[in-house]
Amino acid sequence: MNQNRSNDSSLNIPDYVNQTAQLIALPIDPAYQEGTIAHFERIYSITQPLLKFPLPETVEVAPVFRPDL
Amino acid sequence: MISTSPASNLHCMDALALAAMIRSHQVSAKDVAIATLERISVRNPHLNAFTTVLAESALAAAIEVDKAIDRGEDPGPLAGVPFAVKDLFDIAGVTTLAGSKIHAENPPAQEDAAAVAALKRAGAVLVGALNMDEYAYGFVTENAHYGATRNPHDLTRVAGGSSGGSAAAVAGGLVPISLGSDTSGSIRIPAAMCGIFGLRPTYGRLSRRGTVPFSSSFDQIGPLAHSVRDIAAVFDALQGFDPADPVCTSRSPEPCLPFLDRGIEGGREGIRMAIARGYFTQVAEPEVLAAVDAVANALNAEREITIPEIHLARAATFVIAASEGANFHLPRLRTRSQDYDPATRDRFLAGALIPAQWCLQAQRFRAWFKETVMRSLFQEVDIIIAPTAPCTAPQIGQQEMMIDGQPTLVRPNLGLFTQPFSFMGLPVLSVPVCLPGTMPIGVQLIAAPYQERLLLQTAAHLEVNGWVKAIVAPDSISR
Repeated sequence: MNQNRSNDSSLNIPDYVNQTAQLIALPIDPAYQEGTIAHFERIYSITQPLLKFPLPETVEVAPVFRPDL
Repeated sequence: MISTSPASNLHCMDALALAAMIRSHQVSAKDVAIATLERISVRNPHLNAFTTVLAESALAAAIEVDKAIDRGEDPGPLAGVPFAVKDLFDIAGVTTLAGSKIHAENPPAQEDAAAVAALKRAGAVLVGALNMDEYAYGFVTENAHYGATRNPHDLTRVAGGSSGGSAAAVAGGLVPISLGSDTSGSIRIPAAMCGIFGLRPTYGRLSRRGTVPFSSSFDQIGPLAHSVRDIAAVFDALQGFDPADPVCTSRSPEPCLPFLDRGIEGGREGIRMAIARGYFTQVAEPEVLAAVDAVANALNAEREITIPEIHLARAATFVIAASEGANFHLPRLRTRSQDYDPATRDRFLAGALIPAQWCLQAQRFRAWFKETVMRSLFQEVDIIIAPTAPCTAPQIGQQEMMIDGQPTLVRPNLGLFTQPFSFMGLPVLSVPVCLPGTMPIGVQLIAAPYQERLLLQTAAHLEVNGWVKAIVAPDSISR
């Protein structure tokens, strides 16, 4: 099993991956778990600065993005 | 431009030169098709660009073009020009593989993708489908099921991806034009690594109907070609509203080909050029930055800009694409994960587990970025110059690259400079720069939404003056 490689020592990404996979009924073969966890850790790492960015409450999602200026 | 030349050099000609020769009876469309199919049979075993070759239907289509010309009809601006498409465009009667083993079990497509049909209406002759990263999730086209596509300029190197076959087929002189798709760099990166032109149009500009999606928030299709005028001709042929694609624009087509010779003077103050610095210089190899400077010098671009929060734009692209891609595949991931390419499988599995909050934050950030950054950006500049990829084509199988003295993973980082412009939905053309002693390098020209004409005018100015040039790889390399 992978060790947690995130900066937050209380966060256990391998557990998150396994539990969430069960939650969405996505069986992950043991042979693919290490790679899946590694990729999830990469996504986690890339996403953290974005999550910390202070967005105004008035900004809505753009599910169909139209770039017209 | 690539000039007309003897029939033996048909593979070095651009599409519009070929079409002109065919229309003027200097060569028949049938003979061009035969020569193309022969060339594919000789060179494709070295490049592995094609997944399907449509010899019979290509010959039949070419004969119809010749008949139309004989009747005095105009078969279209791309009369008799051979073309091929990334194997995620539907071709009637052919199973769309999308680089996968799983899709190989699907029945043949019922009809052509919108873009394939449009190019056929323009007179072009479809000769086959092209290799790609599985389900377009990658930048290297090292496909576990169908093999790696090799770079025509160095067979030990990747062609880039995910539209690697589309780039290698053009750079190797197998076809003059091809179609690819670009979610976060999949047209621009292979075009850069193979030394050709590759256009990602404005998000929503062209119909994606009949293509296998990766991430709908970013997916766009576009041409790869030897010349700027071929890019313009294909782009013009593909424009037009399609209600079947939910993001396709209802704006009227804006032809580019007739305006390519307008130069870069633009309006009273000329076209305002700027070089993207900061984020775009931090992890690029020195020769890539030298290519950017060469293009900037050619355009007399002196202004340097730093785009605020651009690293977050890349992060948001990454998380949205990972999540949307996984959602598309979720039913298959549940039952057939063992049949995925190992290079994509774990990433799709990980993408399926992304919390909704991350994606919502990324989508809200996209809306914020458009209003706060993009709007002011294009009040100040018309064309932005930036590197396409941080490096030249890696070796096949290469896992790490050294950038700025640091070992860096190849696969996740080739799209660092392309992903932010996918996020912004902007039209981007990767132009080929050849510096002495290096593999081809791509430089992105980026314009405001729907300003493809300005983009192509600028590129044509560079091409006419010899500052950028696509080169068909010599046969000596590919044999």
